[in-house]
Amino acid sequence: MEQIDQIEEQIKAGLASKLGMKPGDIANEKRLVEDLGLDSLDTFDLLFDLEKEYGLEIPSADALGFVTVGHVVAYVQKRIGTTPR
Amino acid sequence: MERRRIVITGLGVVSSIGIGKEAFWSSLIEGRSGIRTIRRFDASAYSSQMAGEVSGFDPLAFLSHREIPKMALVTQYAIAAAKMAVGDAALDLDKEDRDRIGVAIGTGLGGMSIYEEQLRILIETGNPRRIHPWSVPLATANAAAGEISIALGLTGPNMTISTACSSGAHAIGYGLDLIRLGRADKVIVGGSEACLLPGVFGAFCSLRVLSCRNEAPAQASRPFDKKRDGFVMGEGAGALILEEYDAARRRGATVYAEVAGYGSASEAAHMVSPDLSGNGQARVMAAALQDAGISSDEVDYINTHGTSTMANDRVETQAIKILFGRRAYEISTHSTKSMIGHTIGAAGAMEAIVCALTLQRGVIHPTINLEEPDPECDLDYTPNKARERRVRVALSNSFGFGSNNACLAMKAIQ
Repeated sequence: MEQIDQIEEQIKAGLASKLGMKPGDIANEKRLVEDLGLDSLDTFDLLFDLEKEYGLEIPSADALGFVTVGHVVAYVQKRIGTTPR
Repeated sequence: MERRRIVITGLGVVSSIGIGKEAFWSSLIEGRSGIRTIRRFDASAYSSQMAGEVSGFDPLAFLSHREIPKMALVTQYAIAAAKMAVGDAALDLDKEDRDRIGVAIGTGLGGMSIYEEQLRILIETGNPRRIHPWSVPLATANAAAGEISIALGLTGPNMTISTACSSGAHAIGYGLDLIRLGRADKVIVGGSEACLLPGVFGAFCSLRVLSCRNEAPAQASRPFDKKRDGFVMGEGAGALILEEYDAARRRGATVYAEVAGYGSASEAAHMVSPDLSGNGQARVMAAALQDAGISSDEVDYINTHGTSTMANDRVETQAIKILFGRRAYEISTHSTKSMIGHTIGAAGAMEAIVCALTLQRGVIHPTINLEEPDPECDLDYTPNKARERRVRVALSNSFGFGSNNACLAMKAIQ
């Protein structure tokens, strides 16, 4: 699926734009809070964008597992791969 | 116990006629109007199509790339004004006890821009999950006061006052009381408004309070003129640093003026009309003078509420005559709204800034567009040309929807 391949790039570009960083600086192992400085509002904003962009509903319990950028990417890829649009 | 003397040591302003106190002041003295056809949204279907819109405001001068989207425009204006005021006061916050510095900000409509935007999204999408998660913190009425405290690390009292058109004046009065009562040593006070929004503006149009002189926006706000036909909506923010006189002197601060008294009173009359006798407005001016311990004989100048509505300008004129009798004709008055329109919750703060500068500099800005005075408005409104005059005591009037009146009495520093 072409979309799955683009997800990582899209999520990193979105984060980079919000944080005023370069997409290349948003590595998978970067932690959202500790390394990128996201606060609770930034996290809700990220969830909002993901839900809108990918047509998802992301339960708060799932979001607790979003520690690194890689976690977010993997989660969305998995949901997109299994959730019919 | 002797009461603490509270003075103004810093000013910050975001206005349609300039960002910063000097740009604002020079426009006022030159009589330059900030009113023009609305650009913020398409107002061509509205009965009133003009406003005192802020232009040339660069939020990046005051906020980071990441902070800007987290604040409604009303909050951005407030933060900008507050930071300018702190800078103007040469206040080194690292040397201050931040627990003793408070913030009190007035706003009539707060982050209404966020409600309008998000409601539109809800209606367009029919999907409540499209409502942005930041809507609550951005829209809440106390966002401006909260964000100022967060940005500057001020952990003293933090208050928001919303009394429509008198919000900014009451915020200053509240800040004055905080210092008098010993609850804070310094307070950033002010008001902010950014309500040039399709819904809010339409609501004011429907209330038939706005001028419809759309063909000549710069002449539309004409307080006390016979041909006035309502007020013109404005936006902007004003912030002032209040502190105790002795403390200000000890740190070598520039002192603009003393805030000597504050009057606060309801007219208990009507939600949008003043008490037509003028007694309600006279009473709040008297209350400010009494609070200040100042005789009415010492008042040389009044910054009027002066909205350019038929009712306000007549009633306010009458109120000044009730309180001052024959001396009313010796007092210089004017209307700042003739140039910037009515900035609602910011008006009282922006006009207090005008009073502070007038007391410091001895120049009274003109009331522009006063070509043919209403016969019932026969005071000295400083028509069309600034005038030099040393002022001992100034009053700043702010009268709000909801029958809510405020008056500040300010004194020159000898």
